[in-house]
Amino acid sequence: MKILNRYGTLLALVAIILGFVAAAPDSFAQINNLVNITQQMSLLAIVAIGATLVMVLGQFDLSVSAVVSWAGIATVTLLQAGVDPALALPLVIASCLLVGIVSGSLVAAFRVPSFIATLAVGTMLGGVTFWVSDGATLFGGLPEAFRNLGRGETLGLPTLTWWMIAVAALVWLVLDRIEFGRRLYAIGGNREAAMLAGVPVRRDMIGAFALCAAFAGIAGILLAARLGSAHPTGGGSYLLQAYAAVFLGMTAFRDGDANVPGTLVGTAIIAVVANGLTILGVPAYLQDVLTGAIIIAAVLVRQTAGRRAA
Amino acid sequence: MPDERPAPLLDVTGLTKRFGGVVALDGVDLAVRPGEVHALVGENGAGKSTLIKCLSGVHQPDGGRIVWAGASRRIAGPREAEALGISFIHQELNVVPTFTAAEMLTLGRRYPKRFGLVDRGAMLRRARAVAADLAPDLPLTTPTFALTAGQRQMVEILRAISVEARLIVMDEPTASLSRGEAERLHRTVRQLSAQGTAVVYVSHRLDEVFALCRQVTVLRNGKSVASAPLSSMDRVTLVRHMSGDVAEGEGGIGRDRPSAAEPVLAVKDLPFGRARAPLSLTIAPGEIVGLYGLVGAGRSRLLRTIWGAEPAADGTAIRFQGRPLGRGVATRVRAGIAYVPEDRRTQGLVLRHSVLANATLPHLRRFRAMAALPVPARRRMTDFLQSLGQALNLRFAGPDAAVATLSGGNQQKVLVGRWMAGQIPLMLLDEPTRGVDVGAKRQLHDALRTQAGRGTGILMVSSDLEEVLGIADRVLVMAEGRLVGTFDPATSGAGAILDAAFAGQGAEAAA
Amino acid sequence: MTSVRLASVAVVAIVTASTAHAQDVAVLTPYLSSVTTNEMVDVFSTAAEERGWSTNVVDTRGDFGQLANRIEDVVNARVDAIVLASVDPGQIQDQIDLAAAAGIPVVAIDGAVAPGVTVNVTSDNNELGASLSRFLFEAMGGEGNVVKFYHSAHPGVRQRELALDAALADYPGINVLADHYVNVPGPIDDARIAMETILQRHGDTIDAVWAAWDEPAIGALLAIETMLPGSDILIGGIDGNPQAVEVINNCSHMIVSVRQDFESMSKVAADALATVFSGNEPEAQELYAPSVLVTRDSLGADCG
Repeated sequence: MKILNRYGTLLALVAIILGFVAAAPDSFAQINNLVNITQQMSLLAIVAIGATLVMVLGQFDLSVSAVVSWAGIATVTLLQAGVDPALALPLVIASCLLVGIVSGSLVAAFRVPSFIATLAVGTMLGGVTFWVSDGATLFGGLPEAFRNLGRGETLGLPTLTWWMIAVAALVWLVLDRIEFGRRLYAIGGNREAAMLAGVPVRRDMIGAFALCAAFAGIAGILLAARLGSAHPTGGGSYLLQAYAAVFLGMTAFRDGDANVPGTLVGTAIIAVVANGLTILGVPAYLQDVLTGAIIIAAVLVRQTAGRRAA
Repeated sequence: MPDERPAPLLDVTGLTKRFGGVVALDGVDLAVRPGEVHALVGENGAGKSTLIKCLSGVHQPDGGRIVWAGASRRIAGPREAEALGISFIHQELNVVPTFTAAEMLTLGRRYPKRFGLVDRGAMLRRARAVAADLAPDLPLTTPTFALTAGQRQMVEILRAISVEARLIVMDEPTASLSRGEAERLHRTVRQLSAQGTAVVYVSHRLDEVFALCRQVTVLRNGKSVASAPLSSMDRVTLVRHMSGDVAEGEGGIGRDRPSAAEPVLAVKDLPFGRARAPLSLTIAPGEIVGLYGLVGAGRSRLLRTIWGAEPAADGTAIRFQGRPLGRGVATRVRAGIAYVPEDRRTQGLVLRHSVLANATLPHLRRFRAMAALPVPARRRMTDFLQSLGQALNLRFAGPDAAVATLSGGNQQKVLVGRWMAGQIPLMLLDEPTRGVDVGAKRQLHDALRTQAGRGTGILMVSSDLEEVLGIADRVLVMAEGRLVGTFDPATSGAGAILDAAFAGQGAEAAA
Repeated sequence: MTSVRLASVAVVAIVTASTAHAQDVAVLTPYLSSVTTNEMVDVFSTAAEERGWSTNVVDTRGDFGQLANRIEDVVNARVDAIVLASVDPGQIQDQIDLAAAAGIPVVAIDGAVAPGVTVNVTSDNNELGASLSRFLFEAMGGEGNVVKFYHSAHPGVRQRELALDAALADYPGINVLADHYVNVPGPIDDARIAMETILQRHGDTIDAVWAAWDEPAIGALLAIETMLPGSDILIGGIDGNPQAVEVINNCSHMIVSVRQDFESMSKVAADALATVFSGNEPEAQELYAPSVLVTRDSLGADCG
C-alpha cells in the first residue's frame, strides 16, 4: 500500500502501457513505437516542464501555447529572411524570456493574478504572431541544419527525445538541487514566510516565469524544426495538455508540489494514451473522452490508495 | 449581604475549556443582569475571547454551566445563540464589503419575499426602521467598503440589535473607531441599557470601562479573579487584579548585565503609527529588550518595519551597528540579523515542507558544497539540523518529516534555530513562545540567554508579562504606535507595566 | 485501476470489431471542423465503407505537431493507406517520407503533389477559371467590357487568372477595361472600394466583373448596389461560398460562382485508392475533380 501510495501515478502509467501491449502486441508493443512515443511526448514535455517551474510557485502561465506559436513563427520568419540560425535562435529565445519577464513582473511586482496577467500577455502575443505571419502557415526555405534539430536520430534515440531528456535533467537540477529551486518551492508553499525569511520573492518569481516562457519558446523552435513549417496557432493544444501533465505529476511524487519527474510521468500518460488509441483505431472523439477518463482514473487511483494507506 | 438586584439573565459558573494541553478557561464565573453594562477585562490571553466563543457556540466548553434566563443551556452554534437572544459584535468586523448596510442587516436571516423573489424595497424599509433610533444618518444603500470604520461598526451593532437581542457581547468595539464615533457608540450602549438590554463590554481602554460600565469581571490566566461593581474599585486595584502577583523582575539574573557599548540597533525618530509620531529605541549588544503592549499597539508592525518587510517612513532612521539598513529583508539576512514572525503557521513556516527545508531556508548560501556554485550540500544541511537538535533539544522524526508534524514548541525552535548558522548580532523576535508548552518555553529562554551571553542584542515582543519580566534586561511599553514607557524589571513590577500599557491605550482617545 | 482495465477492454472490443474488414484506411486532417473538409471526409468514408474498407478518422484541430504524431502512429500501426484531407503535404514532409518508406500509399484530397504522395485529387484551378470565363462571356453575348479582380501571389488563384487570359484569346469581342489586385486579409472591403473607384471612372460602360474568387465578387456587388443599382453589370466568382450562393439566389448582379466539387473529389480519391489496392498505379499523380456551376438556374431561383 505504501508503494501504491507513493508511486500510484507511475503504476497507473505502467498499467496503461500494459493494457495497450495486451490490446495491440504487434504494433503498440514494438520497440520502434515505444521509442517513437518518447519523440512524440518530447515537445509537450518541454512545455510542461517549463510550466512546472511556475506551478511550483502556485501560479499559472496561460501564455505557454501563445509562446510556442510565436517562437515557431518568429524562427521561420527570421530563417526565411536568411538570418543565420546561430543568431536567429538566441534572438527568438531572448524574445520569449522577455515575454516571461513581463508576465512575471505583472504577477510578482504588481500583484496581478497570474491567470489574468498571462492570459492577457498570451493574447497580445497571439496578435503579434498573426501580424508577423499574416495569419498564414509559413513553410519552406529552412536550412537543413535547423531542420535536423527536430528530426532524425542522435546516438540511437530520436533527437527530440534527447532535447526532452536535457531539459528535464536541467530543470530537475534547478528545482531540486539549486538554491533558486528551493526558494521557488518555499515561495509556492508560503509566500509570506518566504518573504520574511529573506527570499527575494519578486526576483525569483520573475525568473521562474522567464524560464517557463523560454522553455515554451524552445519547444516552439523545435516544433518548427520537426515540421519544417510554423503555424500561427501551432502551439494551441499545448496549454491544456501541459497543465494536465503537471497536475498528474503533482499527485505522482512530491505530495502537492509540482515536480519534474512527476510532470514527465504525466506527459507520458497523455502521450501513451494518444498513441495507443490511434494505433487501435479508436474514433477521434472517443479518444478525447477516453483520455479525459484515464486522467481522472489515474488521479483517483492515486488518491484512494493514499487514503487507504493513511 | 442580601442581593436585591434582579436575577441574572446570564449566569456562567465554573466554565472550563482546554485546547490540547493548554488550559484556556479554568473555572470562569460571569453573571450579567438585565440592562446591565458589564465590563470584561484582562490581559491578552487571559481567556476573554475563548469565553466569548463559548457563549456564541463556536467552542463547546469542557465543563461548567451556562444558565440563560433561568435555564441551563448548551449553545450548539451561533444561530442558536442568536435564537436565544444573544448577539455578538466581534473584534474583526464581519461585513461583506460589496453588500450594503441594508443587505448586511438581512444576511443570514429570512429575506422579505415578494412573488418568490427578494423584495428589496421591504428589505430597505426594515433596515431603515432598525437604524431609525441609533443611526438615522447611516447610509443604508452604500456598499460597506465605502463606509468609515465607525459606520461599519454601526452596521454590526444594528445587526446585533435588529434581532431583539436581550444580551449583546461587544468585543473591543471601539478599537477601530475615531473619538467621535466611540462617543456615539457609548451613547448607543447607554440607550440599549436603558431599554433593558444587557451588554458585555470587552475593552482595553480602562477610562472607557469606568465611564460606561456598572459591573466588572476580571479574567487572568483563564480564571475569573474578581467580579464587583466598578463603583467599588479604583484603577490601581483593577490593574492589580489583571496582572496578579507577578514576582518582581529577575531579568539580569545569572548573566552579566550588558555593557553600555555602541548599540547594535538604534532607531532614531522613525515616524511610526497612525500619528506618524517619532519613535526611538536602542538595543545594546548582549541586551534583551522586552517590548510589551496590548493587542494592536503596533509592536509586530514595528518589528516588521525594522526587519524591512514593511517600508519605513524614513529609511535612515533605522541604524544597525551605526549604518542605515536600507530597504528589503535580504539586506538584514545578509547582515546576519534574525527574525521570528508572530504567527509561525502563516508567516514563519512552509508547513507541508520538510523540517530540513524550513530550517535551511534563510541561509541556503551557507550550505554550499562549493562556494562558487549555488548548490546546497545536503550533508551540510543535515549536519546543521543535527547541531540544532542538540543546541535547542529540537525533536523531529527525520530531516524529511513535514514540519507540520512537529509540536508547536519544536516548530518554534526551528524558526529560532534556523538563524543560528552563523554569528547573530541582532534578533527580532515576535511572540517567540506563544502557544508553546512550558518545557519548550524554558529551553527557548535558555537559548536566548545563551545567545545574549555571546553578545547578541535581542528585541522581543511578548504579551506574556511574566515572560517579559523573567527574561528582559529592559522593558519597553508600546501603546497606540508609541513607546510610552521604559522599565527596569529589577525595580518595576507588573502592575506598573500593565498600567502604562492601559494608560497609553487611552491616550489617543483622549488626545 | 479497474477503470483503466475497463477502458482497454472497450478499446479491444472496438478494434476486434473493426479488424474484420479487409483494408484499414486512416483519414487524417487538421481541419475536420471546416464545413468543406468535413463534407470531403464524410463522402470519402462512405465511399470506403461501400468498398468494404474500414476507416479511422483523426482530427488534430489545427495542430500540425499532433498531425505529425498521429501519422507516425498510423504508420506504426501499419495501416493499408493514409488519406490526408485539406493538408499541404509539404508541411509534414518527414512523416510522408516515413509512410512512403513503410510502403504505405498516401492519398491527398485537395492537397498538393509531393514526394511520397501517391496521388493528389484536387480541383483544377485552370478549369475553374476557364468555366467561369466561358459562362460569363457567353452571358455577355460574346462581347463587352470586363473588370478583373485577381491575386497572383496565391499559386492556385494565379492558375485561374491564366485561364482567363486563355479564354480572352478565344473571345476577341471581350475587352478588360480595368483590373485590381485584391489585398488579403479583408478582400471584400478592398474590392468594394476599388470597384467604387472603377465605377466612378467607367460608369455603365462596364458589362461584367470577373473575380478570381467569391469574396472580391461580393465586394464588387456591394459597390454596384450602392452606386449603380439600375445597371445590368454581371458578376462571376469562384468557390461557391455560402454568401455568394445566397446573392445569386437573390437575383442580384452576381449570376455565377464556380464551385469546387468536394464530393466528386472524394469519390475520385476513393477510386484512385481502389486502383492502388488492386496493385496498379493511378493514371496520374494529380487527378482533378470536375467543377460545378452555381447559377440562378441551378439554384432554381425565379428571377422573372
